[in-house]
Amino acid sequence: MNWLVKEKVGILFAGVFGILLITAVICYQHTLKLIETGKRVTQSQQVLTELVHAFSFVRDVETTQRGYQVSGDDRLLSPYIIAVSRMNAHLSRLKELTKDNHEHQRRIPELVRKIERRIALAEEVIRIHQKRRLLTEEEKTRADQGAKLAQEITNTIRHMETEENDLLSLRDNKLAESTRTTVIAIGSLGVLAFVLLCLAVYFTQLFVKERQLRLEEAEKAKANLDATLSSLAEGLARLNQEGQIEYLNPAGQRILGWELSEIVNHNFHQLVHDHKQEGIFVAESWCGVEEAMATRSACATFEERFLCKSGLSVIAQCTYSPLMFNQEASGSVLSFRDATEEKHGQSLNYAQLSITKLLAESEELGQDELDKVTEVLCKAFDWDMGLYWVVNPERELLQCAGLWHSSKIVLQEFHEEEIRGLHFVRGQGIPGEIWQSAEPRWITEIAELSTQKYPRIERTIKAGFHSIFIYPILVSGRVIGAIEFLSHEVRSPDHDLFDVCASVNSQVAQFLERKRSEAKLLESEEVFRQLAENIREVFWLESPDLSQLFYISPAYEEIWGLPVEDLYADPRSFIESIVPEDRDQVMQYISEITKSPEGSVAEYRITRPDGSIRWIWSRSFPIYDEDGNVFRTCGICHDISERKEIEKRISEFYSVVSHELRTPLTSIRAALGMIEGGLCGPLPEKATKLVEIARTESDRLIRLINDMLDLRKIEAGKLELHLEPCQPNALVDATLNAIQGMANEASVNVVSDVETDTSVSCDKDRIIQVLTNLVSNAVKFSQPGSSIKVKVETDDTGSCRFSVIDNGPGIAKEHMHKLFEQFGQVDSSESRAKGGTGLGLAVSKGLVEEHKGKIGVESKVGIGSTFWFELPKESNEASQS
Amino acid sequence: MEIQNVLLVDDDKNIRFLAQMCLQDLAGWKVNLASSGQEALDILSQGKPDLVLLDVMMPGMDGKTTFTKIKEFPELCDIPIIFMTASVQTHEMQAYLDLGAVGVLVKPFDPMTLADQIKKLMAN
Repeated sequence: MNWLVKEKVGILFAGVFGILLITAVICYQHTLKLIETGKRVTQSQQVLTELVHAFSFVRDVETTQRGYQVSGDDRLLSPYIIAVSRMNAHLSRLKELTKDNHEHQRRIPELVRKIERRIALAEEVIRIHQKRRLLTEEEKTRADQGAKLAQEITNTIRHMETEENDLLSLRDNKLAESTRTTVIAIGSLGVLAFVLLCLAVYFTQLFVKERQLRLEEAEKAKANLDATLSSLAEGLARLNQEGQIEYLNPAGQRILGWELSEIVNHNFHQLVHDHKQEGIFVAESWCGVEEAMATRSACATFEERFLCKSGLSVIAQCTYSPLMFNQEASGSVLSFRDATEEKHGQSLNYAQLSITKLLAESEELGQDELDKVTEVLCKAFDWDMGLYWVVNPERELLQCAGLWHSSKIVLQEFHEEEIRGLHFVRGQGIPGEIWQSAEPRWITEIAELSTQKYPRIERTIKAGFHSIFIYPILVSGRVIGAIEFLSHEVRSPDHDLFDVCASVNSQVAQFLERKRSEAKLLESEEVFRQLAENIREVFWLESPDLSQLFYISPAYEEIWGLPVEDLYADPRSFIESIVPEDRDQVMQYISEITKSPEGSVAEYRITRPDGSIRWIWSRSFPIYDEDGNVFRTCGICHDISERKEIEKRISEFYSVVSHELRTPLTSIRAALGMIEGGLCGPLPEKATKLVEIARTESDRLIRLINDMLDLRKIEAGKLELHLEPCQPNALVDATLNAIQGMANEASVNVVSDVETDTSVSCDKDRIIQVLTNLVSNAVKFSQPGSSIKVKVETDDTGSCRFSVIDNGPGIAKEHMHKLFEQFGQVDSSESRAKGGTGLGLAVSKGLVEEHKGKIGVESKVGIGSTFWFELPKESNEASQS
Repeated sequence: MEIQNVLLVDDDKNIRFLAQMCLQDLAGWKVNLASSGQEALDILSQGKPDLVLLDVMMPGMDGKTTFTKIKEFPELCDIPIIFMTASVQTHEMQAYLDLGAVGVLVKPFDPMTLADQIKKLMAN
């Protein structure tokens, strides 16, 4: 489209120009014509004038001649003389004017001849007339001839006039025609030219607009490109064929520190490539620019050192590409980015990694390892020498344990052996001070240090060192060593080095900690092994589902008679040893291990391979992880066969004792009872008293035996309760019935105050036994005439409280805690006098606790005591279910 | 039911004597004595008493076995039997009742109220 507009405008302008040219030519021609025609018209008019003049002269001549003839007055001849004198001039003018008119040319000589003849005739007439002064015939003839000639001349002139007038009108018409044609031609061409001009202007405007648009687009594109190049984080440079810088984007300027105006047209390689770095000269032929130009392809990205304006160098990662124009390399483009930080970071990471690896793989921190640590750090941070100091706690010295120095340094001042032998006491020299202060120290210029304070520093200065950095290695706040760095350059503090040193410190600390815990572990393993192998107990660690056994002590083999390997192979195999009757119980025990932190306990029998039966007591505990989930279980078990045997024997013994004691007691008690009952007739008073004493003491002995057996059963956990729902008032009534005789004897009134009819689940006989104990105690200690109340109430929790309230002497606080112990009477002699066994409250306590209840006493000396016990609701439910 | 004849089975001769004395003298019952389970069975084969008082712990055939044997005889199975025991184990007492005993007397017993206790058990 653009092309079309441009073409159109060109053609249109060409058309306008052509038309104007044609118009100009036409105008010129027509103007010439008009001028010519105008000339002719003027000529015709002059001819006519001349003819009029000629005519009038002829007339004058005629008139003058006649007048003279008539009057003879000479004065009348003057017009004639004038006419004659001028006639020739007019005639020659006429001749001149009609040069181009053949008709007139032909006539004019004749006219002239005639006029001359007429004049000659007139002169003759005049001369004749002057001679004679009379009108003679001759004169008359001549005059007639003259008149006749004059008429002829007049005719000729008139003819010429007529002709000339015709010519004039013809010429006028021609002039008018020419003028019109010219106007029309010029007008139409003018209109055409105007139209074309308008079109041309219109298209020109279009074209201009379009060009403007394109210009704007181009500017926008340029702005975009500029913005892109400015925003680019990477440096971008364009070099010409000679390697001179033509363009460098802002990022590039920033990286290199040069303004574009400063380096434009400078040779990039010479200006920027750091030739001297690390003593390696980079020849121009190695330069990527050359290579890119030569190979005409992008060079692989590689790292180079670029020299900045500041004189420092950066590590640049750069790519060179040839700048291609029409398949010709007209320069090169270089993109680069500052990888210094990255490289630095990489080298830090590398240093840290190396140290971590070194420490992880090392068995100990010897000279080799410390030399290596020092080397890695020195290389990573470009220090010339490094020393690793270690505190020797025995000698109280800080000794050099690791050393590294760069190959550039020739140790003239110090021999390596000498350095390795260096040591400082606490507070002495720079390392000694660090040992004391435990703070890192950076000395930018050691020459500024006082040589009096640091006498050894002189040699260090002499060795060309300027900066020193020393970092203490701390473990649990205690300095165990230090790392020292020395540099030939003056260096300002480097935070990265601080950080890496801190990291090395923590790694060394971890290493030492690891070593210590490894040693500890070995030690504790040894302790554990000694325990495990020498304690004749079975204990183990396993997974909660018993799928994996982590450890079991060797005593297992002794008790089970089976190899532990079998158990490791199948941890559940121990169940097979258990006698079938006990297996359900054991499965129950296993399932309960993980249910509470207390774990679970079981006693079961196993059959050993030799057929013998052993009793095993076993207890297991859950082990929780951080989230509170059971992830292991542990347990202990031992052989309780002997204990079981002893228990059995004791049980049998008690049974036998019970029977064997009771049998004679039965006879004694029966005999005494019958004597006392008067079966043998009346007894003397003293004998009656003696028999009564014997009988009551027999009763006490029986109670004592009963209570002892009860206690024994409670303590052995052999007491079996037969729980059933009981009405509290029934329990109280049964007690009161049993005790009534005793109460009557003591003249004590025992009343029941049962406020509840909620049944309570309990072993009826046992609760009556407890109540009897409490009420009989109350009766024993009550004054005659006083009363005792037995109260029963239930509280909100559903537990049932039995209280025995007396108005007895009360119990002092200091004695209360002993009451429920065996033989814990306040005053045993008094109690015994009243028939107590000393076991009643202990048995009561045991029985109540067997019911999962509580027992207690509240008492005030001089006012009375309240013995109470509570049976919980739980036992109710348990029994009813 | 009026008790007239009682068979007392106990290995201890003192107890046999004392129990016989208090039951005969105080209640006026006729008390036959057996010193062992076997002897009791022999006596029972000759005549049927109104009540058997049976000691639990006896050498040879103990009280429980004797009880079972007595109950095996159809003509004897309806004789009321009361155990006498020196044990205080409640559950044992319940076990005797479950066997079909009329009651349990705990030794030592009060001789003056023994007959009354027996009557009370029989009434229950």
